[in-house]
Amino acid sequence: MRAPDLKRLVPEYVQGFEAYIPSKPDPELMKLYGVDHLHRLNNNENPLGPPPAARQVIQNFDPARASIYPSGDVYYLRQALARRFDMDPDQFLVGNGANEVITFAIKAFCQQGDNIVTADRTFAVYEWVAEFSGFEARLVPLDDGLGFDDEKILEAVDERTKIIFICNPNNPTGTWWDRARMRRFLDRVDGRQIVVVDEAYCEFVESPEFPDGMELLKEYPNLVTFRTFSKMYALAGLRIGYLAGSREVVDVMRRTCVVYSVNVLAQEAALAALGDDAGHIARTRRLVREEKAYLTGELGRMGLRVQNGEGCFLMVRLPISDTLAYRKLMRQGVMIRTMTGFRFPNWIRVSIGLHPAMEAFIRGLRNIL
Amino acid sequence: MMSAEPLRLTVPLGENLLGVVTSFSEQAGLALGLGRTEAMKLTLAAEEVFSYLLRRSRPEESIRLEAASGGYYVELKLLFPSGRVDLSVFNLTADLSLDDEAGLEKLGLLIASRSVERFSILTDQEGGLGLSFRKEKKYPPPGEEPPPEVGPLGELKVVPPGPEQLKLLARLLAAHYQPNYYPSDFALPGKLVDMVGGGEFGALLATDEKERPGGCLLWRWLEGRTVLCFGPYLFNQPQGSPAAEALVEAALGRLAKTDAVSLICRYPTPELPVGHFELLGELEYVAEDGQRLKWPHFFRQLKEDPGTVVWAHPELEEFLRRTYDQLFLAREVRLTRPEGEERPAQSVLGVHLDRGQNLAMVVPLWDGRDAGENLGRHVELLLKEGFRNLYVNLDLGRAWQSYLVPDLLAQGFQPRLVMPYGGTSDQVIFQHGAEAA
Repeated sequence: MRAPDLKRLVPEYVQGFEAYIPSKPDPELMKLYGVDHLHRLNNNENPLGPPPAARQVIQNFDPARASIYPSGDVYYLRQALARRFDMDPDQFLVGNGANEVITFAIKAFCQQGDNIVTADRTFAVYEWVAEFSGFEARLVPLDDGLGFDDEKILEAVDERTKIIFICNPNNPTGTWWDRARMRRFLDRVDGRQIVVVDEAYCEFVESPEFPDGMELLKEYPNLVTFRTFSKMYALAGLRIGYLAGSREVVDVMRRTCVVYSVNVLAQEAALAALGDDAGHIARTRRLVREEKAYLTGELGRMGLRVQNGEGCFLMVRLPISDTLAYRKLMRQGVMIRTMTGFRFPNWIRVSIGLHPAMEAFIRGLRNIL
Repeated sequence: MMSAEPLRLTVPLGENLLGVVTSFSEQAGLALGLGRTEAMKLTLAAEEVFSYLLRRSRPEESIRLEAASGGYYVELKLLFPSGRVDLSVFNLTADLSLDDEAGLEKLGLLIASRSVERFSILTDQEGGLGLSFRKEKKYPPPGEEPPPEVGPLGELKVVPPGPEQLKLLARLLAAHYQPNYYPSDFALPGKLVDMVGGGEFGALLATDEKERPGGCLLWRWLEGRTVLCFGPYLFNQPQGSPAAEALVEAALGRLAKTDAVSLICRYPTPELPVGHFELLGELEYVAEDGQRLKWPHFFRQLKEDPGTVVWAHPELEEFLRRTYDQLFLAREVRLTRPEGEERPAQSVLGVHLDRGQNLAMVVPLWDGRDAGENLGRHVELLLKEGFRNLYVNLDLGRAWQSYLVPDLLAQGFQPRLVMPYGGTSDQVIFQHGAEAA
């Protein structure tokens, strides 16, 4: 059998694209690094786990139901989201994690020759999806305060720009635009482009000045808001996220959306989580607040520069290579995220975990520096 | 890294088609930028290989030629069914008897491999074999004019240099750094432009609002997922200038989103910001005056290390485990050795010679039962030729290369350092006459 001529079959923009290689499963990593435990501080997971009602749903799931297709358009969850945000269920699209809804947006609005605009040091999936789909990703440097630079973003926009992606708060810097700045930006875009505001970490923000993307949708029909159940709601393993927008805009994206991509357990756990989140959010915020205070204190005593914005993570600048720090910390059973890939060489991002994990991280860092 | 689609020709191995092969090679060489003399040398290589194959192939078999430009060179690949070529002739030590027909037959292949700057053996998944000949363009030496005066930069910015800036950098490099800090090709302005233009090399320039050059950093893509980095080089910048770190960080930003996993610095300058790199170890380098100098090698990973498998002869195991432990690298060391299985009779070793630096790097190209004796012949020849610095580079992703370990140790080589992901997996550099690391 002849091998396929991949040079001919594969589009050039895919040939030139680097596949994302996720970490190996924990047992494999532990074997490789010779440790018997692993504190996962690399993926911004919520160490408290899902809200109680969602846990109950997961525990009670009848295995026989695995043979039945889920709701193709996540019917009940969209109803619940509509009630929560006082919107229409058709203003929501639910996907297999927020990563999937990014592809819905890009596929719906971009065609050959178009571009998207975002920051150079932000969640990488906007850039990846655009580039492996054959569209230019225009990357604008963060400003001096490591936040999205609204002026430079607007300068990068041209008539072929279809989507502007704003990560608010930004992953990994935790910087964010307040309500006034967001409004000013949306006013200046004035409907010429779709503006996606990714609010994956919005539930962690306590400031009253933080803009609520769901509220802004009522005024800005070109705005699309992304949210996820992976972070605050701790359902990352089930993969479920969603977007919201005006009915007209969402109707366009529905045409490129993959139905039946969200499994039944994810749908039901998310529904339960949404209905039982008040106490859970308060507990998580308290944990993040307390552990960030502990970390910033310890890291400050070590003389390290810390970027502590909003979200369940912070960044630390090291005097050694971040990839070396990763290996040395792995040998001590602590897994963090290196930041070279985010274009922050020698920085690491550490997710907020339970106190013993935070202590293990500080201990590990002291050992290697 | 090639810049464009290769030119291709497939022809049956028939005597009447020799002219087609030579015409293609010559015209492709000229079209892709070689001068007439260089194109003729490439043509000679193709002619010799084709003629050799004619005598050893079946008429229904064919040969495929591919020619591509790499900017400063043209690469011609000849691909054909395996088992038709006695590869041992490509050894530097090949000693052909010109008194018999077999020796004369092989002479053509020897001429082919020596008429180009770089030669390598290719294998493919379908059992085919290939020979690659890389012929470089000829460039004039730099002009006599001195490089411009440069001074401290104003507002620092890092940008990719254009062709004229690269030419300027070639002159500044030669004026500000000793030759052991950069490959000699960097000092040829036109060649540096083509090296970067061809995509195999990358460059960044530290400059300011007045577009003055204050420093640079260059890198080269190797065939795997490793990038070699050169510099950073600074020209008349004050002590503690931020330009060196800015150059490194800008390069990391560019490389981080590519498939490169490892950045290796074999020519570290005093300006290297060591906080961005890890020391892999040191080779010894015997200078012209006989002084034994330390030659440090640095690297940094560009991604979180997922761990990998390496193949090792049992006699190398202790060194590897100790080194991996020191470098905190997660590796599964799988032991291997020849256990009576069928192996080719004759091995092939490639040699990269740098006469300016009195240095020879030997790389196994083809396994064979005579690998130990072949290595011995190479060492003898290289020492006789006056090379004071002999190194052997083993790819731990290719199990058969580990078979050479006992012979290396027996012939006075010692493993000195590991270059993570330097080949298909990690590479180990052995040094002749050195102390064990």
